[in-house]
Amino acid sequence: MNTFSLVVLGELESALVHGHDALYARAAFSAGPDWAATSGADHIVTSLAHRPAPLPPKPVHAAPAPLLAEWLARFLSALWTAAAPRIDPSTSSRAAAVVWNCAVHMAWKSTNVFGWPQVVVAVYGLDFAGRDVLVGYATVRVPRHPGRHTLYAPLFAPLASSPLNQFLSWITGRRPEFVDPFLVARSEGRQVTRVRSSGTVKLVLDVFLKDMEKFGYQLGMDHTDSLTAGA
Amino acid sequence: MAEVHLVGTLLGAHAPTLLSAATGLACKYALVAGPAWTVIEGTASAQTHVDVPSDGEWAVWSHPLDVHFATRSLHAWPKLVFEVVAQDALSRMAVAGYGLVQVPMAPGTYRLECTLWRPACATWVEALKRQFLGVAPALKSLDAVAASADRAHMVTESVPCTVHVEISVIHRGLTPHGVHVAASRSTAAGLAGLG
Repeated sequence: MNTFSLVVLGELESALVHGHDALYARAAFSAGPDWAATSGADHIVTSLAHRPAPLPPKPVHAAPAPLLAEWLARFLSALWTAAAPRIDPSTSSRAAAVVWNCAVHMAWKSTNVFGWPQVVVAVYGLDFAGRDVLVGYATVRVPRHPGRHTLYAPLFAPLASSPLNQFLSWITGRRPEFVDPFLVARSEGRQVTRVRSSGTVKLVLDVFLKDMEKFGYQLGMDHTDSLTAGA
Repeated sequence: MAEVHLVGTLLGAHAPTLLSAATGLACKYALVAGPAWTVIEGTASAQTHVDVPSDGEWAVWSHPLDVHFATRSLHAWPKLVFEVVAQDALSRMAVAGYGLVQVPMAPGTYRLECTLWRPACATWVEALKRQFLGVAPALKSLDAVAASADRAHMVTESVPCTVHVEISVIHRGLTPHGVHVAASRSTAAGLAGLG
């Protein structure tokens, strides 16, 4: 046996972010030079998920309404939710999880622990004009122990380098982004960036390992309660 | 030669008090090990981004740690040394604190927490400089954090900031040398001369 294997199954579950009602995410795996993907998708894009609609106010009177009026009211309310989910101020400030429930599956073989895979998540939302804007990046390392792991990865977005750039990015709807999102999975070149952290992404990952012991590696025990990444 | 992998993430720092005065925090870190240790792959020292957190409580660094060591001795097992740098409202950077945490020897995954300190202002002139110019007394190099010999001559103050690290220690080829570092009732065997 000249390689060991790592398999990850799970889901990119949800995000908890203030100020956005619709979010989607791009997720990708980053692994070292000795790691070869054997199956799965190393790049996934989730659906554009909306925050759950707020509960409608309870009617004050329970008096039976005429059939036509009821139908009209329902039609108008459906029209309203279809037209105005993004600008409804009552939902934009609330923090309810936006659920993607998007499956993740990836398998590698390797000869070297160095370069153990990481998940890089980039979350995008829609701004007031319906344009895609970056909400933040998150990175989390695939757990080193077999079993089920619930991971919370904090999100952070790069800040504009000057107030002028900040104003221009607001006007044009182009917020600062990393040219290469995999920067967040690397150690070099990070010191020149300034970021603002806000919100978290939740992942549930099932990990299994094969032939690590045969390969001479000793993994030991997992002494963390749950492998949460950050706040 | 035995091999040790240190794989994990420099998660961030919990510093609500510090972040009420500073706007953002960054961290320089280094994995310091003895002369018998060689870095085969990976970055043993780097600097994180500056995080300006929106919650004003947790500075998020999410900085990957991944270093592959080869060693001939268990002496001077790697230590993680931190220098936390604070950015003030005028974007000036000043040292907020230093810290040191010993990387566990037994294989496994750990959540490490490190408390910080900084050199205290020795004179009232220095205290005024810190207050108005943002110039704080700093150590000349991070090596002084890892060395315990110089500490006796230092006057320090504690910093309300805790650095959080999640790290896996993975061994390869230590057992054939008769080394037991995992928790068990057997006595620890030979400390040096792994050859």
